[in-house]
Amino acid sequence: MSKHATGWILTTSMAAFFAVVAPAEDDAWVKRDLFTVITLQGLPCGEVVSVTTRGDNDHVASCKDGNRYHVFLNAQGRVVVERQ
Amino acid sequence: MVLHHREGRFFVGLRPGSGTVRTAHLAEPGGPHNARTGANHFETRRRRVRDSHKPCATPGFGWIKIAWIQHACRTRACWARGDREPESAGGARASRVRLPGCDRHRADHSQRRLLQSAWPVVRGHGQHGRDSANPRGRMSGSSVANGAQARLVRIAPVVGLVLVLLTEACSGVKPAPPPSPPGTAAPQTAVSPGQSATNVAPPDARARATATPSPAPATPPAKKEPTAQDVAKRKTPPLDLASLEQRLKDTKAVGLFTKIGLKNQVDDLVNQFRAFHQEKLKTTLAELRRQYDLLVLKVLALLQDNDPALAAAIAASREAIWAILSDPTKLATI
Repeated sequence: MSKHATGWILTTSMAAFFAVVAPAEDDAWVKRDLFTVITLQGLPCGEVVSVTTRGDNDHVASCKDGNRYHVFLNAQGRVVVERQ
Repeated sequence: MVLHHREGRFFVGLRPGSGTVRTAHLAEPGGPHNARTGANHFETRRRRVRDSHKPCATPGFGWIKIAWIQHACRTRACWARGDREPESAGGARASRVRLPGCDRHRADHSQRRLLQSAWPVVRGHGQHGRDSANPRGRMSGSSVANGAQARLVRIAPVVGLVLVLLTEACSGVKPAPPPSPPGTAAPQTAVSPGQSATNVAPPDARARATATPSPAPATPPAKKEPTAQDVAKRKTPPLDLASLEQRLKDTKAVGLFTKIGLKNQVDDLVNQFRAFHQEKLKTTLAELRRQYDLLVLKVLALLQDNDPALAAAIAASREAIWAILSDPTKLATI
């Protein structure tokens, strides 16, 4: 196999790897951020297991203990956490 | 070709009948060709050398040995125990290496022991098993190719590196400075970032520069004992709220929602302080202090793992921020 083909395959593999890994890291970062906000408000949440994004700065977080919270920024620029 | 056994060693005679001419050494008893024990004669020799230095020896070499030798240089434990300087088991004497900063004899002792441990390795690597100074350590051509020899050849550079590091480590050991009397201890003063080091002079020096020489004071003036407030004032760094705010905005230790949530809580607390000072809020300063401490703890808990420098800065500015919040005039300026 030529050097060019090897390099091409290696580059493609790396790109595919990072394309998969980067969103996973973003997802974990959002989960952690939402968990921190929820606990800062004094609301119970063992761990955020899934996040549904509704829009910019608008998420629904599902906690491990079954609670679901709507976390968003309101018009006054405040973080609001509503239990659903 | 005849196999001889003489003085506990095996030889093969290439010219039988001639007696003394051209004999090749095969191996020592218990050497690499010993099928019964399977022991390597280099391992046996190294273990023999190590056991002869038992009181001061440490197993293996590498970082553990460096740490031990550095410790020995510092504490003089090995020399103080009266351990005798070991003789070289193989007859080969390692050259003395004088190490700066260490006691010469102790350093020679440690160096020689390490060199003796590494000697079979160096000999096997550099001379291909031929050592005229030590005929008992001769190796046949077949033993050069065995696995133990290859392993020893691999670690020879490591041994060299250990020796270099050992020299550096011992040269870095400095004797402990003599304890200064308590009256002459240098005062610790906090320096603000904008203040240059040349502007900072110890209080004693400043006092000496400004004081006029008195002819003969009858009684020396009594030293004023530093109060707790003076100590706290000296230890508290200057507060830079703008810098702290910018660092909080720029930190990657917390996410966007967390930052906005924290800012909301800080704004709420500042509004409570304003209302308290304007007597619009019926609460006590102690209650506000409790809320303030809780908020600072939240911030510190969020930052201390991923941005410890910022957490330390906030913790150090805690009392200064409280002084602003609790003072209505200062609070009105921010």
